[in-house]
Amino acid sequence: MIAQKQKTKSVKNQSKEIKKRKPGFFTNLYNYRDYYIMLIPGILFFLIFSYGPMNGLIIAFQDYYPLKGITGSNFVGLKHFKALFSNPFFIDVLKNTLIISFYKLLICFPAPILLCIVLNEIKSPKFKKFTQSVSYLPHFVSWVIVSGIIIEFLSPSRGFINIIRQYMGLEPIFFIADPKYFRGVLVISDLWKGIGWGSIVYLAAVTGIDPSLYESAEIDGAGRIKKIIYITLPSLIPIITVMFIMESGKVLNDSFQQVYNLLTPATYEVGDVISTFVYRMGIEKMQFSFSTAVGLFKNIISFLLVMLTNYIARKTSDYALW
Amino acid sequence: MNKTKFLSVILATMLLLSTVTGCGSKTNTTNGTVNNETPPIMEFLPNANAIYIDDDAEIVKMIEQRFNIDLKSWQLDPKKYNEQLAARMAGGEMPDVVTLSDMSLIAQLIEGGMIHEMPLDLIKEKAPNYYRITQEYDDGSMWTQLMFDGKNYGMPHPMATYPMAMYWNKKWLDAVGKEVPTTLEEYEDVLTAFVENDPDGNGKRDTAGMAERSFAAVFGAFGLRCVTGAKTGFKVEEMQLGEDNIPFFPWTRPEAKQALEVLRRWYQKGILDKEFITGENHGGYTWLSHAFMNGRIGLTSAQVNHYYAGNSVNGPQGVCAKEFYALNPDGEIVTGPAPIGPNGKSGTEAWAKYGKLTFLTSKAFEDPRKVDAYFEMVEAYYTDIEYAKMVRMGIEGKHYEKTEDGYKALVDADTLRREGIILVDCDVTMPYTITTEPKTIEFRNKIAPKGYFRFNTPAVPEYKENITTLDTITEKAYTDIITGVKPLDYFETFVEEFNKAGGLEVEKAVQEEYAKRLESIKK
Repeated sequence: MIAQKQKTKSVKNQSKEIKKRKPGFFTNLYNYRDYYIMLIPGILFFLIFSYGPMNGLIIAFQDYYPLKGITGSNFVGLKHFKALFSNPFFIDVLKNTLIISFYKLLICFPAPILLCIVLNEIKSPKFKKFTQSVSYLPHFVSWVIVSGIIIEFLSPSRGFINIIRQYMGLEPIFFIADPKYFRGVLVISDLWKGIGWGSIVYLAAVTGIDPSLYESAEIDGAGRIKKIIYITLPSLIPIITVMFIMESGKVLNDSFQQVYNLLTPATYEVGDVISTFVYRMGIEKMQFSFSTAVGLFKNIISFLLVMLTNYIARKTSDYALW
Repeated sequence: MNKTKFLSVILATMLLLSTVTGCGSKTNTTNGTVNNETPPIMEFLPNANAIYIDDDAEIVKMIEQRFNIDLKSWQLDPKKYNEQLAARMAGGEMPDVVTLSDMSLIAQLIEGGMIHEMPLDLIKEKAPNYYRITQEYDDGSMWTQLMFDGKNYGMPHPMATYPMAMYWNKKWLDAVGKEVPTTLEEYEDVLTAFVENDPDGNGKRDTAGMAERSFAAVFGAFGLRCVTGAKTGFKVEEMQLGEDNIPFFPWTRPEAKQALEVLRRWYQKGILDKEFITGENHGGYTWLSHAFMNGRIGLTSAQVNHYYAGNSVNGPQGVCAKEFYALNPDGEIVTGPAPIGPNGKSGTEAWAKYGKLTFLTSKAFEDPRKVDAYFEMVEAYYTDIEYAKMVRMGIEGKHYEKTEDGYKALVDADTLRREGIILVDCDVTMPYTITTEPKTIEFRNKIAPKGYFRFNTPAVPEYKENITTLDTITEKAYTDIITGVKPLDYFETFVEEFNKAGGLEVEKAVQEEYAKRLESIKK
């Protein structure tokens, strides 16, 4: 009996070893068939809704008309890309987009993190809730309205900022129409609108920090600042890295609504960005091919930027996306 | 296979099936099948503000009986009109009759095969009265706008359009002791007084003369149609049709430099409100001038009906006048002529004379009964005034009533649309207005100054490719010259840049195309 048992055991072990050495693709597929079956809907979803429509990218290389369809439209190669790159304003527009995005990344990216840390330090729960709600509110107001408010606030004749300046004996400044201040207006208004909403994800991460860390730090005599520097911030690093990688993909996807509603001919040279430029190019309306070409260009750059940031993150930390 | 396994397989299969069927099912598009017994379905796509009609409405029934059709309407969200139209076209749907006033879409729709050719001979044969009546209002350019490659594609309708009027703040004029000015020099004199002599009497130097809505009148004094439109900035895409019937870009003409010199001087003197860059309108209804209502400037420009809704100065107030008097109960507005320039020229901006265009699609042409029905409808609109009034305004006593100041609607526009009114009409054409509201035409012509009518530029490929660049160059240069960022002589550099960026090429191509169209009409 015992010998028999040992024999079967060794056979089992043998077969296990064989399996481990050579788990063939189909064997694998068969062994884990339940999981693979469950995977099918997900894969189909991406095939149908994400990869399928990529076929449509071909219209960037055509003179596309909806009635003629993709098969009936003329193939024109890189015509629309050439039209984009050879436009005399393309370089200016690209430069503006990059500069404005860079400013926003520099100022508007870290701001929610700071807000989150400050909110986290508020002891009164009521006051904390109130501050949070107030800071979220601007997110729900559309840019059309925010722009109207900004134009009124900054108006040299009606705006309260300039009225205060006049009381102080200073000359009013036409912020919206002055190339020197326009980018500043964009960044600050974006900051005001987005800071509260942006801090939510960090606040969620903060609640996940083990309170015992703080307790032991307190026992070791750490003050508030020390706790922030040595506990809160390091715990936030993974989420900050992920958010930064995602944010870097948006560098070329400027905020159309914001810029369009604030832009005037007086500030074209500093404020005209890719989306507003394309919008005006679309004066001819229904320019599907040109818009697709611009979209493709922007997405390729965004993809490369995400890859690059992720690569750097992987090399320098443990928190890359993949 | 145990229970859990079985369940998971079932679930996965169900998900899979639902995705597949979700993609496969496609709503069938309505199809006007050729059947001699039932009247053909005729789908109308009106210009924006479309709404689904109520099939049982009195007027819908009347139209259906008279023309032996089954009337249907398309609805598109006016804010996403172009996108939705494109999406439905891409899905293979097509209306039968399309009404447009946005010229920019037409070329796309024709090239895309949606709009069908409508030969002039066919129009002359099927709608002889329409053709004869509209000829009276044709200045030679009417049929050019629908010509593509020597073929005609639709029907233009001569509209009752009027140039923008000039509105003055009467209280300010009285305060500085001036009359309504007529020449450009007098304009400058009065507007300077508005800046210097404290017309609102608050002891502060916080008033200006005018802003961007009155720019067109200054350019008009030099014989040019350089307009700013409802949004701030210049509408460079609008070319001007010269007196010699040749289109050109007004922006680069030497006279434009003269006009810019005036505007620049006025900016320095404070006559131009510095905030013209963000516009007179601070939100809300586009044609409201908040700067004018709030006593920042004393002169503005808008359509006659924006201030006078009826057919006399004492009649009902228009949208803008209502707001003005709400803020200034004891205020008063007077109108005046556009400034006359050094060479005796003057005029303000006016919309195209043939701003309403109707088309039949290739789907409509598949069924000759629909084509015939449509031509009958147009004929009826131009010859049968009772029918025209009914499809335009509805039934007297129910939808509108006649007052001393013209016709007054009794229900809102959406209700009218739902009952099939404002759908198959040809809008307020000249013949229609002359018959129904002769007093209004007389009144508006009296209030409105001379005007430069909009020329619907033929969208040749050169134009399409370069117009945005030209627009950007011009807007920058004009704004910088007026505000003094660049010297006046920068104008020459601008002209050079403009021509180099395709300006000359576009002008030439448009002129050639226009000449070609004129030629093909003669044939």
